[in-house]
Amino acid sequence: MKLGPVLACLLLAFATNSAAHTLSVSHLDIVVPANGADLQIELDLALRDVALTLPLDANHDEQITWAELLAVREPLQSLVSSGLALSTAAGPCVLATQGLATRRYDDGGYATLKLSAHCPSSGALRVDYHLLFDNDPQHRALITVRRGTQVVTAIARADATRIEVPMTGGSPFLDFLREGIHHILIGYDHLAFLISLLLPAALLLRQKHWQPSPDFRSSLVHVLGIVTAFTLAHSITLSLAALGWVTPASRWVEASIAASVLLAALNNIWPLISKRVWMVAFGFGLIHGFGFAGALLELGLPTGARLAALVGFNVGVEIGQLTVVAALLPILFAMRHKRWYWRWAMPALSLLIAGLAAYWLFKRVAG
Amino acid sequence: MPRWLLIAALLVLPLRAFAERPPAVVPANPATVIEKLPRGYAALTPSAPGQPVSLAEVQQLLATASRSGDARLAARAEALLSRLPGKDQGSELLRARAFSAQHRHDFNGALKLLDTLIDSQPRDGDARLSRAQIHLVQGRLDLARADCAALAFGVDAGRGLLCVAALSLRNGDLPTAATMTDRWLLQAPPSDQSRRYVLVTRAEIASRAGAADTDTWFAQALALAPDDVRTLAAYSRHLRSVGRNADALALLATAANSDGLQLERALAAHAGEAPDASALAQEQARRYALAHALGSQPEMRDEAEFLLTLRGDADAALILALENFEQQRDFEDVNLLRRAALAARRPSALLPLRAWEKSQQIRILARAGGSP
Repeated sequence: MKLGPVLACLLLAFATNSAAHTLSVSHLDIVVPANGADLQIELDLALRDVALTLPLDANHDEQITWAELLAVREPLQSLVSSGLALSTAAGPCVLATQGLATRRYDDGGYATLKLSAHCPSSGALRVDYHLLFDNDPQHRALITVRRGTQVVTAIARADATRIEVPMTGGSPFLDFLREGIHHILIGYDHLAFLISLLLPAALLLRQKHWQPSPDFRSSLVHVLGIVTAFTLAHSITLSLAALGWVTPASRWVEASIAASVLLAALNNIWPLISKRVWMVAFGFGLIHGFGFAGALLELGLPTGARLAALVGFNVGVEIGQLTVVAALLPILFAMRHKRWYWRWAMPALSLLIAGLAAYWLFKRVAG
Repeated sequence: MPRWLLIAALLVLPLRAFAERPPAVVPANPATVIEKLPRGYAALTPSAPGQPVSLAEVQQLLATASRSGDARLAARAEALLSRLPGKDQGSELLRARAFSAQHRHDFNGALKLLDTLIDSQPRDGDARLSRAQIHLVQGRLDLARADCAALAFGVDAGRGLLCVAALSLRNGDLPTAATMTDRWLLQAPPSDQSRRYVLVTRAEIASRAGAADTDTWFAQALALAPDDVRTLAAYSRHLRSVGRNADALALLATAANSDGLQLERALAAHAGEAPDASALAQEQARRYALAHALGSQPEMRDEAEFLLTLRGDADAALILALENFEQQRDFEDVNLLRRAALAARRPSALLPLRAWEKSQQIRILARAGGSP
């Protein structure tokens, strides 16, 4: 096909074309573990870019299969190692390939290359990204570095191929404090337990029937007692488990947490315990502490600042809990005189939580 | 918002960053298709490093970029062009450079290249028609008229017909535009490479005139290039304009992934109240957010349309529509500005449009019946 006339025609068409300016983008995601372990890296390269760089579409059918991507795995790794380098002030990091996957972004399919990087020290991380710029000066790399809840993003482009990410600025205490808050806000079972304890917080049990609490102060004291006992208890077991002194099987810890939610919710409907609820909260808090420890150990305690991290995480969990209490208590107190609340809404919500907890319990015991 | 809710939101929002990446998947079946490449990719074989650049390679990239709307191909073509000697001023090379400049909306750069081309080859009808088209997009109808006259009265009568058709279409003189394109379609050989472009233009004329044969014209254009993004976008716009949103969605169902067509999908789904309308609008929002985060400016007309129709943010849409109007004054650009000004209840925003109409002796606002 002669392309000269085609180009002349394109000039006509393009003058009025509302062009789709989809740039070539790659996504480089670097996770820096808090415990100094190797960096975990995922590099997503658009399959269109790979097809323009390597012989990816082997059968020229303009469809890329997983087998075709696997077939160019080695040249892809070579391409990446020649265009991506990580280093710290102490020297270069050693990259190792971990695996290959695929990911679908809004603009199409991507090849995901999983790597790990062993870096000589934990100073500022330097990323040198040179991929694809030779053939596509408009290419951009969206670089995200995550360290706990700290997220730093940067863009690499043809005229800015080196990115420096300060990784020493964060304090272990603050990082783990954020993690603690994060964990309580996404920890649906801990939240369900807390809400189960809070639902009758502005009510009093008289002759096996819930009635409005006379004043806010007594409700507040009641709730503070529960929360403090729960916190004290989970701090003990969290510390014991995080420091490796007690290591219960996570399956039974998770099942016990589900059971605690179930019992707390059922107690709102068929009250068995109405006095010294704080003692119950303390008992269950011991179990939940082991659950928090599991999350903390997944993050990895930094070897040089274990105590600061542990305290930070505990304080974070406490802040998360107090946030929930501060949000719920005024609402519950405002609704305590509503007959529909203590006759219907509170038992119905408790029943819903109990149903969920029974499901979690079944799954955790069976699984 | 109650303070506690604000505090809770502030605590949770930074954590959303974790949820923004789609999940990585390892397909169990090696035959799983993980990407459909736009048509033409198979011909774009990866070139070895250090290999000499050929103009044919550049042209192939540009042709596929135009058809698929994939800007990375135009960027690659531009990189190859930059490796060619600067003193090389061959007509095909100049044409390729002009196309590349046009693609990145460097209209003045493209005009300079076309001026050089026309100076060296005054009887190059394609170059003169291209220059007229750019003048039309920029709203310089007086300059376009000069090129059309030169074409019609000597340089290339066939291209002259197309030039007058484009000028008449821009003026809103649809009968003349239709007559000119029909005459060209009768005269030109079926193999003429411009036929597809002319058929799309003819279909747009029919669409704007509310003619019953609009679908037929689009069908003829699609028969020549079923996956051409410009044809698909124009047809989708027509289908939406007559309320055939389901047809627009069906048309685009298998089209290549591109920002422009994705916006068309989102607009059709929104107008047709399709179940995935919200998801498509969110996807479009993510595309624009990513483009801005990467420091690139999405197509302003498209983004303004997104803000106006899908976001309902007339004020923001108007700002972008005005900025876009400074660059492009095509029918859709003017129409968008008019709708945004109406929606934002800012008639004064149309003053630049009125001044331009006066300077070019055209009456678009009055014809549109939307004078606020």
